Amino acid sequence: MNLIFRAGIVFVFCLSAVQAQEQLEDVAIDSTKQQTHLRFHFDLGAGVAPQAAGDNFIANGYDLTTSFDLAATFEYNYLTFHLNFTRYKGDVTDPTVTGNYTSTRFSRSSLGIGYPWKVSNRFTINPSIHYGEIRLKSNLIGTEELKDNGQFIGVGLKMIYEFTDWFSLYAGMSGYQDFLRIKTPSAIQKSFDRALLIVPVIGLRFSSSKTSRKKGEKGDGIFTRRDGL
Amino acid sequence: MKDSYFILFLIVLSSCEPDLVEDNRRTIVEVKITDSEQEALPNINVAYGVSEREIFIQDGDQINQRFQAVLGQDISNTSGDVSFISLVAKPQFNTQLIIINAESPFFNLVENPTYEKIIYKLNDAVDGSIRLPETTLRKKATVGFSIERLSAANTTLFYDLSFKRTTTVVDFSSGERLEDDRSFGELTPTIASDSRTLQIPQGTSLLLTYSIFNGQELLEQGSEEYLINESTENFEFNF
Repeated sequence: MNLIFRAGIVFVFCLSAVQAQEQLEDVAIDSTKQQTHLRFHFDLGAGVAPQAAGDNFIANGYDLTTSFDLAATFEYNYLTFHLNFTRYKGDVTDPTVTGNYTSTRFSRSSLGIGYPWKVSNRFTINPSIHYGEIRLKSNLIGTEELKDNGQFIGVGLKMIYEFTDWFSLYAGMSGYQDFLRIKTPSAIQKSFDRALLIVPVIGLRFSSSKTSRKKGEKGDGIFTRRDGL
Repeated sequence: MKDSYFILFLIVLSSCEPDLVEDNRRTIVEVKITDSEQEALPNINVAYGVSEREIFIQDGDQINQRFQAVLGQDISNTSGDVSFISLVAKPQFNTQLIIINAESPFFNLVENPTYEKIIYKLNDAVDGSIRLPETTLRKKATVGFSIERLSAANTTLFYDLSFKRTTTVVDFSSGERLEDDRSFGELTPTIASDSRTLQIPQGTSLLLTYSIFNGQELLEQGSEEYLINESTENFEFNF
């Protein structure tokens, strides 16, 4: 249900981005002063072998599995705006530090902003920062569920190689600092307050066509950033 | 259409499942376990669980019901210390139990059969950590007790046996212990003997209280106390 809801958000985001792109194109055509660069990306990726660091209940009590990542990125005037969803599972290796359950599903949703640094015509490095919500769902017995949540800030670094205008591969790293809402006695609060996660990521990127307009250009004046800049 | 109602019924039913645990909460449970010589007792499991219903001990020291959920568990180390993080039960679950030397195949809890079982009963919602007092587990003894009739056949013996259980319930707040048990019996003129096998903690005693009647006439009454010091004991009472 949650996944469907999030897929819906991605769809709405995509539609909004396309509409915004069309509107901004019109503005750019009519403008004599502004230059716009517009592009939309959809990323489908995986976080390979996530590693929790530090002295906290996730680092000490879980074996984390590969994550599944979805991201929508809107590129506008040399900034990137991100909407990210990540899901992964953790098998509990030591229930005496987590509480008595066997596994947890981790879900992250976040908004972010980044700067795409174009190293060459086909190769881009895109650092970004994110802020979002993390949810932890752990199964006890039957339908019984334990729900924990919190917020996080994240940093990401994607190295993107463009094979075609619409298709790229990327690899990189993501790091998340979680601020959880779990309340405990003071003696163990430190172990539940914060958690740090580092995730190597790989994935596929599907992009809309490149669009850039310069001062005074109209109609067929569309040219790619690679060609024009 | 009926199928729709049935599915709706199932959805409503499933939404009525009780939530046992508090979200975004954890606590810590700590206890030190020793034996009767005050030596650290390793490899004893401790489990914190919840139940919707009240608990009582049945004959044979069996707990009347299973845990609905075990929120935390661990095994004592070589120093006899146990310390584990646990989930926190919602306040409406007024039967919260911490069992020392618990047994539950469903939750993979295997008791040490040599030692007794202590159950701490928590009536209030957990606020803060749960630190139990140092807990001493006594060894269990298997006690055979038999009564033989040597006197005239017309007599009737009424007796009861008082002893400590090998499962003790302790109220966590007040420290009050529920550990005594009694076993009643009667030997009518047609019965020549009786025997029982009991599980009793070592270091305690078995108290026999009896009355011998001839019809309505009381011939004798008294008591005998038997000390339980070994893992297997056999006592006989003749009248």
